[in-house]
Amino acid sequence: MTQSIVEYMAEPQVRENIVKTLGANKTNSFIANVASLASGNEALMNCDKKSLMLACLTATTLDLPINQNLGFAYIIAYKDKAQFQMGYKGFIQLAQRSGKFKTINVTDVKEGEIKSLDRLTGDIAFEWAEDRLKLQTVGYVAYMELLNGFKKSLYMTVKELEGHGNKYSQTAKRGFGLWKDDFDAMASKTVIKLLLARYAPMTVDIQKAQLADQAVIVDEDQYEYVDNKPILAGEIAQGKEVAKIIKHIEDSKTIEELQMCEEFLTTPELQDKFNEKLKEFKQ
Amino acid sequence: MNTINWSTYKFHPSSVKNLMIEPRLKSETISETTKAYLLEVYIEEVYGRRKIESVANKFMRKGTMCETDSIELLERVKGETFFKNNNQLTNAWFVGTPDVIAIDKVIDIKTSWDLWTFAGVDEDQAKKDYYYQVLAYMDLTKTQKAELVYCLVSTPPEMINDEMYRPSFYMDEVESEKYRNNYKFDDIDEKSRVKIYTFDYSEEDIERVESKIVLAREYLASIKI
Repeated sequence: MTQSIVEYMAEPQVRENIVKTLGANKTNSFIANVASLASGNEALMNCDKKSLMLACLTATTLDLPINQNLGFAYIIAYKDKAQFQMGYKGFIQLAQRSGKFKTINVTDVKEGEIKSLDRLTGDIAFEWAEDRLKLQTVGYVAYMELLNGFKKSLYMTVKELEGHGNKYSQTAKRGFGLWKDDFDAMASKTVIKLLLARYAPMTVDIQKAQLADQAVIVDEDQYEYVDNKPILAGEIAQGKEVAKIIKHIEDSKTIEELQMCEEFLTTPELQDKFNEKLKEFKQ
Repeated sequence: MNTINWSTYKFHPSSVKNLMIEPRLKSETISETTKAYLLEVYIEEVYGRRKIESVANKFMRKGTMCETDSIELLERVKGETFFKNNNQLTNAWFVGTPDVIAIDKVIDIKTSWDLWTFAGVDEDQAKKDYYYQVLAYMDLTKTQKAELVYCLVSTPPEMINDEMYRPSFYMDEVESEKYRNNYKFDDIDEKSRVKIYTFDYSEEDIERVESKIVLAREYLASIKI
């Protein structure tokens, strides 16, 4: 039977790692939060358990809630792995916590609201329209002001943001995923993230959030940017083939039926499952 | 640049039909179409370059991604169990990986792109188009029978998203959903989503293929670019 995420986190070594990272006091509530997140999302429930646990652990160490509705951080299923994604509110939260920011904000920009742009300083003058909701969004701007007086803004047009999404996300390129479902949130996050990456004083947390964003966390401080990789037909085909053989092994009612797949056991996982089932029949 | 011993060069079964086209003039031994194909083989083998359109198109992508789905559909329709073969086979003439090797036959699976292409599959044409391919597979597997099986299975969501990306610029969600249905076929009776054509091995025809391969090898050895 497939192991649940709670069973996975109850394994001594896994639990020990969680305790080591979060402390004993926070471990049980962390496990409860991860279980609750996975139970409401079938795709996450079927994800690789380690990637799900590490994605949630990253959010928790950054002290960001993993409740998707709050928009600070998201845990998203991509193929069979759980991917960590920062929300723009999460970046704002981390910046505020650093104690170095007077202001940090992001907003959409409607048509006609840009009055002038100084290419040298990067300063943009806006004249905000009054009845702006009816107007078409042409871009997004992030702004920050540090306590030492340093100010900076970063503006990107909708077209530039779409290009950014298509460049860094395979799902965006194919017209689905967060870029399609919630463009406003992804665009806001992108301008905030780039503003912080280029101009803000880097704290340990902001740096970690920048690195972990849109990554599957393979191990502590090891990130794999899966959504940036192409969807390979061969990999999908192989996955389906392995799943078919696993089903055949599990459903086999006789040794003869089981042995029909013997010459097609192309992975150690399949070989193990086959041997296990064969043992069952011989007992 | 690779050095190839063309005298023993082995052809993939899917390429054999390119060698079987008769030249227009009796004075010629190889047709112009075959020569053009052999030039592609030469460039691929010697210089390691292959035309992208010959591998990266949506029809082939669906064929690869859905091969197991098609095999499972065939299993349900025939009430038999099949597994995809991953072993590459070779003999003196051919090298290839048949889709399914059953006890008494070899099966070649074609996954149709959509309902229109599936409906348009004509038995005579399909048997003509793929005869030499399945003949070569029968020769490789030493079987006397082959089946060419066309299957209509749903397209993977990733591919449907690709197809619907541009249309989604000028369609609302409701209309878009309606067209997404063009790529899903689970509502159609499974038996009517499979077409099976059978073939018998022919010693005589395989000898004709072998003589064409000898000519093709000679031509490949003579190419200079």
